[in-house]
Amino acid sequence: MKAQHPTEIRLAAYADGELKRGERREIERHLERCAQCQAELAGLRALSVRLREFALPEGVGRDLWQRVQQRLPERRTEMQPAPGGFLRWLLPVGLVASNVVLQAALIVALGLWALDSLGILDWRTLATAWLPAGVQLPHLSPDEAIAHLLSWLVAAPLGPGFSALTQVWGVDVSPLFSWLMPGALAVIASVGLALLYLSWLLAYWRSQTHAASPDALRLSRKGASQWIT
Amino acid sequence: MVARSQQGDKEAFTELVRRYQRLAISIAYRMSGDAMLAEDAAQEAFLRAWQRLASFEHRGAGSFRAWLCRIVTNMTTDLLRKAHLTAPMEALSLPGGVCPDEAHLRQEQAQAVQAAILRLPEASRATLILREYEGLSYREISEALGIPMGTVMSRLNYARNRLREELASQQVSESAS
Repeated sequence: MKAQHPTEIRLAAYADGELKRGERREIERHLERCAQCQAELAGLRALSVRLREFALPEGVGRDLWQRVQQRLPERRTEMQPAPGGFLRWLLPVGLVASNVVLQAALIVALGLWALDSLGILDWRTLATAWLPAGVQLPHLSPDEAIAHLLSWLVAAPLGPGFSALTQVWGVDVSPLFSWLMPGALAVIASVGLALLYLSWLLAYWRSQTHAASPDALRLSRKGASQWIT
Repeated sequence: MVARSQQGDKEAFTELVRRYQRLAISIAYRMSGDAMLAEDAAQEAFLRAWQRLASFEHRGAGSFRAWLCRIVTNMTTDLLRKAHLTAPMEALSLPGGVCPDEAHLRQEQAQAVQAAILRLPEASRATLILREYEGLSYREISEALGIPMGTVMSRLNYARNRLREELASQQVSESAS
């Protein structure tokens, strides 16, 4: 039975000296009786020889070390440091922390709103107890002022208080809109945070896969277009 | 030498630059085909290496070489993109209608090889250069470019096949004319 030809990749690995002894012998045994693979191998070797024609011009970069030496700063810290452990984690930790705070505030606000809706807790009474005595907003009754203030401070930015806010201001909105708005705000906030996470992840991935990027490009177009022939 | 450079020893690092400058220039030149760009890329790559040496995990001379190769290939690619130079073919077109003497013929053949290499996609070009010109093993290339060994082998195979096709077709058209 005729042995199968090695794949192109395997033959190239043989030519590159990348195979283990056993695999190498197997290929050599095949080569002894396969003219097609012998030709393929010869083609690979001929290509390597041909590639040598693309030689490095004489004298290029001979004094490179001197130019590098001149540009080395006295201390490594004088150069822009690569993002260290602390800086690298500052942004994601900050994002996670802010997300946790937002979510906690949302849950508390939702809880208060639910208790108020069920009549278990009168949040206006509770709010009166928290506010300093004599706080009064112009053109509003004390009760409205407290509700207004609470809406601004706690509920309005988070969504669940939006319904209360519209009622206090007397804005004519449909009940459905009032119910949907808190959820919509929460979704918008979550999408915003998700985008922030994603952008950080992309930036981090790029910094890891791209070990270097030119921070001091002084290459002139003229210089770049001069080809060595 | 690497360990001393990591401690901030400039003399030790300069010695490293002397030792590896030809490697860096060779990669950058063969990636770009432009001597000036290659010098810029190699210089910036060494400065970047100096910046990042503290975070480099030294596991022998091979690992430093692979790490440096990665910085040089990335730097050259970035400079090429910034200079909007991806395939400088117009500068490498062969003069037609000339009966070449041997030296001229050799120069033309070298230009043909250079043009074919520069026409390869960047990823395959970098893999081929590290293998054919710098003699890196598949494992070292995998480490240098941050790609699996299987990808190294497939990129090499692609690059070699394409080069063989291009150079063969050029030879046919030259002999026909």
